[in-house]
Amino acid sequence: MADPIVPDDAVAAIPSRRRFFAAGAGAVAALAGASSLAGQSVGLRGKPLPTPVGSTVDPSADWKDPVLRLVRRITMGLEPAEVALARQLGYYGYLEYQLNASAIDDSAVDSYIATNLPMLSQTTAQLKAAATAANDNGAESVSQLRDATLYRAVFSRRQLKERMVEFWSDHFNIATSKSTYYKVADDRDVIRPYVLGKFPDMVRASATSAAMLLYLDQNTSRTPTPNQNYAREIMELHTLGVDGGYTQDDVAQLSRILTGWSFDTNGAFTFVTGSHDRTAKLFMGTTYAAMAATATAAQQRSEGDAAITQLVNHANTARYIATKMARWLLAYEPPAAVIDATAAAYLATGGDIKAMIRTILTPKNLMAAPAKLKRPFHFATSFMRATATEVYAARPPRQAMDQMSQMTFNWEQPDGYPDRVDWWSGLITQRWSYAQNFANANSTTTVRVNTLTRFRAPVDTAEGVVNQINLRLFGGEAPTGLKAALLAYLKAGTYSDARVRETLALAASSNQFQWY
Amino acid sequence: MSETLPETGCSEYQSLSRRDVFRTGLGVGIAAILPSWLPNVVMAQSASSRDIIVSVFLSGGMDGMSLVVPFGDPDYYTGRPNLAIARPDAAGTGPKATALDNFFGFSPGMMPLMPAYTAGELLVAHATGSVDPSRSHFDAQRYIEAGKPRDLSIASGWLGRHLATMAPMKAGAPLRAMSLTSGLPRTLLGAPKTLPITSPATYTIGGDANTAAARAQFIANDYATATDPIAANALDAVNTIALLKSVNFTGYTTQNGAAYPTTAFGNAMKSAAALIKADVGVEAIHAFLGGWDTHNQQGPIATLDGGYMHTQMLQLSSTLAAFHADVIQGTTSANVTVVVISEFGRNARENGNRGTDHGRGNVAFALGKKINGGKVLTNGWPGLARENLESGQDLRVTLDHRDILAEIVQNRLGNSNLSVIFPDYTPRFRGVTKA
Repeated sequence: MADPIVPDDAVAAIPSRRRFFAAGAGAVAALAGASSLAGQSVGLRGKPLPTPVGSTVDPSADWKDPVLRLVRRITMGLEPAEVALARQLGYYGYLEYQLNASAIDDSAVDSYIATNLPMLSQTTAQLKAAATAANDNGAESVSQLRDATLYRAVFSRRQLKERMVEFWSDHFNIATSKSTYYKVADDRDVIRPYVLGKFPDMVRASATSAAMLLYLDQNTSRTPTPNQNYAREIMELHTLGVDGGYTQDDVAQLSRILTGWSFDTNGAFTFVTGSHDRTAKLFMGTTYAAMAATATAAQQRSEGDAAITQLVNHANTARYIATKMARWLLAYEPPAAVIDATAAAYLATGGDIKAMIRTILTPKNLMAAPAKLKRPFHFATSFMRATATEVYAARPPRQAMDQMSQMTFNWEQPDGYPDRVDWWSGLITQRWSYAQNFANANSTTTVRVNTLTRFRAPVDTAEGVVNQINLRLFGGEAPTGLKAALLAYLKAGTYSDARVRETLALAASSNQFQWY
Repeated sequence: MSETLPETGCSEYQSLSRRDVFRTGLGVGIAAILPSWLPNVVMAQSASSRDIIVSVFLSGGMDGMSLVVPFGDPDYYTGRPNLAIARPDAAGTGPKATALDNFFGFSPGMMPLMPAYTAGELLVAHATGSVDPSRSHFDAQRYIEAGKPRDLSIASGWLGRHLATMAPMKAGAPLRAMSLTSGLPRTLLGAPKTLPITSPATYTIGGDANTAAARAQFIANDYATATDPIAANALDAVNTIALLKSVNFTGYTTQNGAAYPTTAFGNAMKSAAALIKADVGVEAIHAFLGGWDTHNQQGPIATLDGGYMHTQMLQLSSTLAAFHADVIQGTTSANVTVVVISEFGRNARENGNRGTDHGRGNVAFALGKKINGGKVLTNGWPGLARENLESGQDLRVTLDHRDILAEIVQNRLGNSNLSVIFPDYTPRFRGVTKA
């Protein structure tokens, strides 16, 4: 049967094609020739709206400043001090500053977490003991990890690092429903040390992580009936990609090679010789000779290491990781030339993530990139950063974020939360509700949005507030129509703190604020 | 590829006109944009006897052979020494299958569905699935949801294209389809007036009631100039907030003594029931139940490995049984048909962890008054002897799941645009629906 997949060149020959799939229904607008619905009344009492047809203008149309575009892409949301710093350092200066994350002083955040979320520094043995003592299956330590993840994303000065933590946590997705407290160690010891390092190091760290081995059933896989779960996903999701050139037989062969990869009662990696298949294997064209019963554990384990080396050195891995990173940092449909260059950077540097980021995030690439839709987590962090939310307890704002369907480490399947418009865009009411609730936060024991100092100053008038909203939420690039609408809303009622907070919620609920 | 599943549509696919349908079919207002020269796409009109459809996806790769046991195949017992469910006529008082016919039986965990089966309103299909051999969760699920295997250029879903080529069941309905999930699944992509709603009972913006209308108006105006799909989503959302406020979810009373489990899936199906009974024009509902990726300590009976799979099956069957009593046998303005599918089945043989790895052929269910139930439908049982297994490990697929869906779409949903909904596939109707 002929391959029904349309080749890339055929796709390119239909200019609007990608846009149809990327933007979904938006493409209909041009064909239908319908105009925008601005000004038409809303059927609030069950009166149906006319068929809605959106604009074809990308939300990035007003984003003229390359530095601001960079800050949008490599931070968890615009924030005045960060924008000022980026402008001071310039495009390349700021990118290098964020790439060199370990040189950025982050002691304030580290100190907050050490004091308030102490379980993050516990060993797996301690976490296990705490779970046993509390009889909570690790729930509290996982809660602390979730609190810390949001807190760091909002307040860490290593903003690009946090963006990449989010990316790699999805790439090496682990659901805590299965991995429980082991994920706390995985986040600390496997993900965070490598997010701006060498990709192969992260794969190897993940392959020896108790949380991952447990999540994908590797820890109990043994000959003669190995468990194929991890062997499949390390190829399909972590390295080669689903079209990366392996077969069902390669899955079976790799599962045999990896038999014995497990962890001990303290969560430390261990190789179980009794579980290992010592017979010969043929994996992706490479023969692994049979081993004698006298082979040491290190010798038996070494075939797994060699197979992982095969995977991380494979050109298809370079391409798969390059494509995925370009989608994350640049555009849902990155230009082929960017993917090629990024894959080449991977191969030339042994999978150096910083080198790949530099290749992807050139000013030219970024100025040509359409906006991406913030996922709920990113929407929450950008709201908290823009409003300079004061956090006195880490859990309430995190639980508010959870209501938008992206609780961290809670995606059950191993592919991680989707990064697609069509998955998230329908969950819009949840964002409006979040913004409405959060804009009213005014507690000095949990969470406060301090409108008096952040929005009603320096000028405590409607115009002054809208000006601050423009600067804080939109980097000064809010569309004219939005600024006018916000001002009109604020002036339509008696000027008050409540009205200011409603207006702030509407600004965060606006279409423009959903994109980065 | 299986010889019993001929794929004949490849050349037809090359036609540009057909592809245009899928390119543009993602959006709202498809009537306005379907090319008039495309003779085989006729906007189906609302038929008075049309069913509401509820689509349930069991994600993770449900082990169909644990749900519906092929006790008539001795190789089932050879391949699963620890996991097999005993024959109905097995000696002793331990857990055993209950016969559905002389070959297949329900696991103990599926017994809550026996009344629906004996009422002739539950159809079980076996050795069914996709013609594509992928054992990747994500590819397999994508192909099933898209309604065509292997074609990555199709972004929309089969149910989305059904709705896009069908006039609304209720004129002017603000919401035609809803997914009770934390994001919109591909199955419904392309459907007009469709939203993912995790909790219909609490679907609101909140804040001061005195300013609620003005704030909603602000938002609707703002998103009117957004790009789609978010523009359409936002405007539908504003209207849906008002719509769902009129539905009493929290005070909903079931019929016929139906009791939904108080799980996320149970609550979702109960919300679906409330919405259907409210008769507000929602004509398609999608729900999902995960947790089927049982590589390890599967436990298909209560006494094995904590009975994980047994509990999963009970949750599924009790929820569907409640929905059957409450909705299918209850009072509704339209008939309701439920379809239940998963991305693939699992290995015929258990692995060393008393679990099962990713496989192929699987069970699917259809439930409804107009479903030709009370039987186990197969297109020939491929057998579990090693030489009959796909790749030496899996139950072969002999019944394309699209045959089941397509017959329901045409006969129960009144939409005959099957070449749009299941592109390049000529489904064979197999008596899934009643005349």
